[in-house]
Amino acid sequence: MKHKPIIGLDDAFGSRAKALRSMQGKMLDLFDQAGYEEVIPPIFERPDALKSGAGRFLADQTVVFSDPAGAGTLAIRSDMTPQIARIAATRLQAEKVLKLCYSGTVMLARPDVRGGSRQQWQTGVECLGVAGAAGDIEVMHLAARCMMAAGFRKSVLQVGHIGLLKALVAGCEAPLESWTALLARRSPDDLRELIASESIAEERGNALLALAKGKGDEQWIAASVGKYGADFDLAAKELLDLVHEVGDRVEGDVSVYADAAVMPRFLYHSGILFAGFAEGVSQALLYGGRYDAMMKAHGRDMPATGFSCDLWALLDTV
Amino acid sequence: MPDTRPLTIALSKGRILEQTLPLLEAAGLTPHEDVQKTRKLMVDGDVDGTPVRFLIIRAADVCTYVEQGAADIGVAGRDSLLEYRPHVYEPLDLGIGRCRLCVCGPKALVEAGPAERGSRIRVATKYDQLAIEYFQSQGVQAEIIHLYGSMELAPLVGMAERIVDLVETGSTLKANGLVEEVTLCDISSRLIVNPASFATRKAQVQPIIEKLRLAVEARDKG
Repeated sequence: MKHKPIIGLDDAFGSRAKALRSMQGKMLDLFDQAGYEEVIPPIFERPDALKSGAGRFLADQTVVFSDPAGAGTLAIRSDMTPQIARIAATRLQAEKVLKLCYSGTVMLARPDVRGGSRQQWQTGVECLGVAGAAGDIEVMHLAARCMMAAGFRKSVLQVGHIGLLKALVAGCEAPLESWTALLARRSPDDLRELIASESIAEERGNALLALAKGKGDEQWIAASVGKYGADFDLAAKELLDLVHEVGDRVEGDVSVYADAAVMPRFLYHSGILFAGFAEGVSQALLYGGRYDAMMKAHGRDMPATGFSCDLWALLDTV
Repeated sequence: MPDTRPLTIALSKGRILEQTLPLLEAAGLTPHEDVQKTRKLMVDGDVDGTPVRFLIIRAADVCTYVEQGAADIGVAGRDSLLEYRPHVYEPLDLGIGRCRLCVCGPKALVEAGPAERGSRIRVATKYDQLAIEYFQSQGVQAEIIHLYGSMELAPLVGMAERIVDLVETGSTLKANGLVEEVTLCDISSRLIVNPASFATRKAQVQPIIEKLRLAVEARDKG
């Protein structure tokens, strides 16, 4: 074999290629019917465009190379959301509301999971310029429909809010990513060590441990209002209102519930966060949330929310 | 409509299993066969009358079964969790299978002092990532020699200058003329949960976590 396939990069052919195209068609039709216009960004960007307001994890996952045509250093996208932010802040800056969808390959410097793929066929939507909860509600309903359209009969949308964690760890020396890493593993034992290393009030420490123990449900969030300051209360109210609003009107067999320990996949979210799961599937099918701060970092201060999934993963698990 | 598939719980074979069973019993999780004697790899059981099934597998494989969703819940060593970093939740330290992850070496070498900054040494281990990270932090370039067991032999036959391995009593080290140099971390077994199982089957999974938490607390108090 003269050219061996690269480890972690798949080729699709035969029935799998057909199934991928069919799945892509279903998703793009769904987004089109919901009023989302397709954008097809290039696979390369300037590294700064991909990293602006996108957090360290995304930067670590981005492959960069020197452009032989002289454009300097270029990066292969590891996430398409920063590209949408760049387009909204440049070529589409005249439009106040943007509802955009996309479907393209992204490349990770290393697999997300052991033995996993380094490429994802990221497919999703971004709703920009819609203030308040309306945008979140719209994209979460679309996320629920996306899981149904992919063929998952019984799904769950787990909804959190990064503002809750930010309020609890405000003033701590450890960076936010240290807290999100431990809460993503829901490990109270490791979290206890980090809490002990910080001068954090006992009540706040106990609240963090409750999140790690999986107790940060709707009841806990409601009972916590008034205890951890105005920022916590604001996030809690936003989350609880949203869960009710989305849950009341969601189509199909999709459960929507609040979990204060839902953590972002990438650290660019600044508000509501959600993850989609389906019965019998081993990992989250989609991730989404609000990322107003990234838009600001791109020079266009506007509300932004969206979600995306990986077509390869959808197809392999459906 | 609630999910009616039986919950699947992956248990580590061997010494850990012996220490896990009393906790399972205290939490009302009952295998219908003696899992220490049966040669079956999958055993039916129940939790307070609701069917569950137990998988009896190698300790290092528990993370994989749970991460892949083949098991909803498992009991895995912290050593495997640190080395493989699977995407699983770790809601409870069961406080069993206690030992230490250590750097060890021949007595004379260890007494001569730690490997010099900038030097290159050979390290026999099955914890490749943890060994690399530790020696990198010390400015030492480690050539990892991956072994699946009996690490203590590697320095004796001149294949490595150090090993990174679990140490419980230290008697195997002593019998082979090795001593501990550094403890990297304390190890015990943890309850692990598949994130999707937690999301889609929370009503079944959360009570099991809580029952085991109470069983651990009761054991530690008693």
